[in-house]
Amino acid sequence: MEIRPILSTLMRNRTGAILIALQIALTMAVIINSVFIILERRDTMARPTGIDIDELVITRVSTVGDDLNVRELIENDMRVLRGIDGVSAVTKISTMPLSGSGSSTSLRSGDQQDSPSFNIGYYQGDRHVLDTLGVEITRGRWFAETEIIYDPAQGLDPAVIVLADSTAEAAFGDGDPIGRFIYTSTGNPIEVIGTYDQMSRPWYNWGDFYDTAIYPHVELNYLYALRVAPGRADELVPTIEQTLADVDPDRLVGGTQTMRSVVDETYQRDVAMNRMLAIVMCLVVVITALGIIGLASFSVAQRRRQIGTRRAVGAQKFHILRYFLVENWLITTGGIVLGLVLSFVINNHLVQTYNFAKLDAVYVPVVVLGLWCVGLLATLGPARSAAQIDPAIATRNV
Amino acid sequence: MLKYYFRLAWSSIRRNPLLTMLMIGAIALGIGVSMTTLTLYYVMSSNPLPFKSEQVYAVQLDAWDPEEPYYDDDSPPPQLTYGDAAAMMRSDIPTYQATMISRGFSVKTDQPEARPQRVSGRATYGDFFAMFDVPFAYGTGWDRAADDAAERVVVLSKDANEKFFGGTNSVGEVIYMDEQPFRVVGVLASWRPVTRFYDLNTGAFNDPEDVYVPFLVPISLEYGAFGNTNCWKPENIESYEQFLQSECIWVQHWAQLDSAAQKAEFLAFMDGYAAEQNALGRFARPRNNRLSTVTEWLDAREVVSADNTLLVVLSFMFLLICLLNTVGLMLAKFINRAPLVGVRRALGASRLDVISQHAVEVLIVGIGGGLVGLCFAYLGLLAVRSWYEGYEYLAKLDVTMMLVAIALAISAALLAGLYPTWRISRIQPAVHLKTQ
Repeated sequence: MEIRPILSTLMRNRTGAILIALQIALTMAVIINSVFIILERRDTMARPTGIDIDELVITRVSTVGDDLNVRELIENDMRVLRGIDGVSAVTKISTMPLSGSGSSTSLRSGDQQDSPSFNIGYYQGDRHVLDTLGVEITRGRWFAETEIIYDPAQGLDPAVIVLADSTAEAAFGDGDPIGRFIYTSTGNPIEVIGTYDQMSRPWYNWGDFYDTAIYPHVELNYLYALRVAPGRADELVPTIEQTLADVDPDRLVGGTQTMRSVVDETYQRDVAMNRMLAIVMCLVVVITALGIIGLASFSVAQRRRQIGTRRAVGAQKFHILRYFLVENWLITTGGIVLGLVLSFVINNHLVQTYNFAKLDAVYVPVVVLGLWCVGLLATLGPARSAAQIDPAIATRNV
Repeated sequence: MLKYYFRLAWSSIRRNPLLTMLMIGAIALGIGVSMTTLTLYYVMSSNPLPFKSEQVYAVQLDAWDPEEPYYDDDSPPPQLTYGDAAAMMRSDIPTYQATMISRGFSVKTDQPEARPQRVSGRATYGDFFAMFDVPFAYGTGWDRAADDAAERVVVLSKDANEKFFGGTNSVGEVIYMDEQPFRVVGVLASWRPVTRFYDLNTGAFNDPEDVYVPFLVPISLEYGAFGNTNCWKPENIESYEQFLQSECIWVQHWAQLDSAAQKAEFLAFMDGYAAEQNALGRFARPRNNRLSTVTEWLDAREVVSADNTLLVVLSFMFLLICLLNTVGLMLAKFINRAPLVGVRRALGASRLDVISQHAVEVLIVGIGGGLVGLCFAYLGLLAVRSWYEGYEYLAKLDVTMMLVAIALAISAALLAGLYPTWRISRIQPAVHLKTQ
């Protein structure tokens, strides 16, 4: 191979090579950092919430007035909602996973001031929470009807609680949590009666995603979550809103939406960010490829006579083709080395300033391979036209 | 002479239209992408209260947990306890000041067939409107007497007035909020600060509220706030009265202090209050009370997210790539023409003539790239608007940004043309004449 003559030619004609190498370096930095962020966001969005997002619809009623019979009002609403064709279960619950609003509290695993404490996001709801949302009981039991407290006094701590498996582990390690007590910050004991497999917190990114618990409390202003037949969530939204509004025209019904749209709203920023990064990435590759094509064509045009001469003294078409491909490969590789350094400098800055995750070197070989391919493909056209140059050209115009 | 250069540039562009289009396209793409992200960044970080940038302050008192700070960097909490805010309201140092919370209401008009509708509301003091320069279409806000008596009065936003009264002057009308009668005293003109800076709890870029009522109205109804309520102290809260006296933070407080002296005086008042409370066993943290301007406040609360900054950085790297690309293309184009330039030089054109001739061509590419780039930026912002809900006011090109785009494109093109122009002006006429 003629690496040495290629290099010395490059050194004599630096400008074009440097331009391409710089472009490749910047392209590499943009792509590596974008790919990394895109994949990271994708993982975040793929976290399971533990509930059947596509088969749930939520709605809200606000009722004003004094001396309301909370339990009667709720039971009446639930009866009406269950009567809708396509609705299989209904629950009254304080908030939903990933909805963005909810409550959290710190609990202790012992009754001493220095007992280990852990933070949970908690839901309050009636008897139908788990079967409506599609969450499984793993140990112990679920609330009995008599344990549900309607319209609890402000600040009332529950007597019994059901924990997520991960919360139980945070509180008691591997031991059996059933029948044991956890304590509020003011020292009130709560008996753990059961555990469920998984239900994420209401917040996107606040606290441990799966450390949750459910209290047996129901208030009038909670939302209704409805389990609907698969594939019918969107279509049932207006029916549900209308049916509930018709119960009492003086009440305000609103915010009826599918659980899928709630989750989509929560992740909307990440989806948009990923789209923008993907677009920038594609444009970067296209622009860089065009740049390589342009400069390679230019260098072919400049060297027509040298190429003709080489052909005239015995080089085959294949040799000319190889010359340009190797030349481009050398330039691209130079750019890649520079780009690697740049990528890590940028990522390091992101990690330190904005708490981004540290770059995973796994993507690097893939991106390197990709850039080599882009470089070679872009050079292929001009290199082939170089190979077609007629040897006779060298003898003309002398 | 300039006209001649334009003719030369034009004929050069015509001779090689594909290459010129590539150059204009590269610059336009670079400008389009970077202007899209820059516009978002610029609007998000713009000052929503520019005429009072040194007068209006977020009031922060640090009565948080003595064991650990609210923020890792030791900044005071973003909200106040009800009691601390009430103590601030008793000071007459600020020109205007207002405690506030956000709270939704169910609203009905007198119309017999009217159904209740949900509105977003802000409970605040009458000073809110004067402090934040909120414009009125009809009527006014309310006075301190109405504040103190928790009078059932309401100010409607332009949209709410449109919805409930068809946009007519509704001052004096009555609406029912959560089944209680409220008298309309004012209707706002269109008011839409880019950031809802005074309460960042529920979406920094959301619309301002639909209705405004005196702060003590929801308190007298024993309402909590929409937004965040954070408590650190283990305390038994079993009644609304206990909640009001608790260490939970849930209200926002803003003050207008017109001079440095006034600001210093109010800060001293805040510190004095903290010291007083400290003697009673509260405010156990190191003294950490703060008055932040709107800009400082938005910076500290990171309203412009790291994502936006990152996008700006990446898109300017993209612009740089496009520039390098243009340098390469322009170099190719100019060098290609070296024999022609050789002839011109031999016939007596000075080096400066050659430079000017090519600079004009570079300029044309720059202006073309800028204009096409503006169209790309417009499309980009259109896409951003469709991807984010509530970004209608953010993803918008204003005159400043358009001028920035054109200026950026021209300077980018000039920068890209610098080296190729220099190279072409340095050619030796003899070398190129020889091979003709």
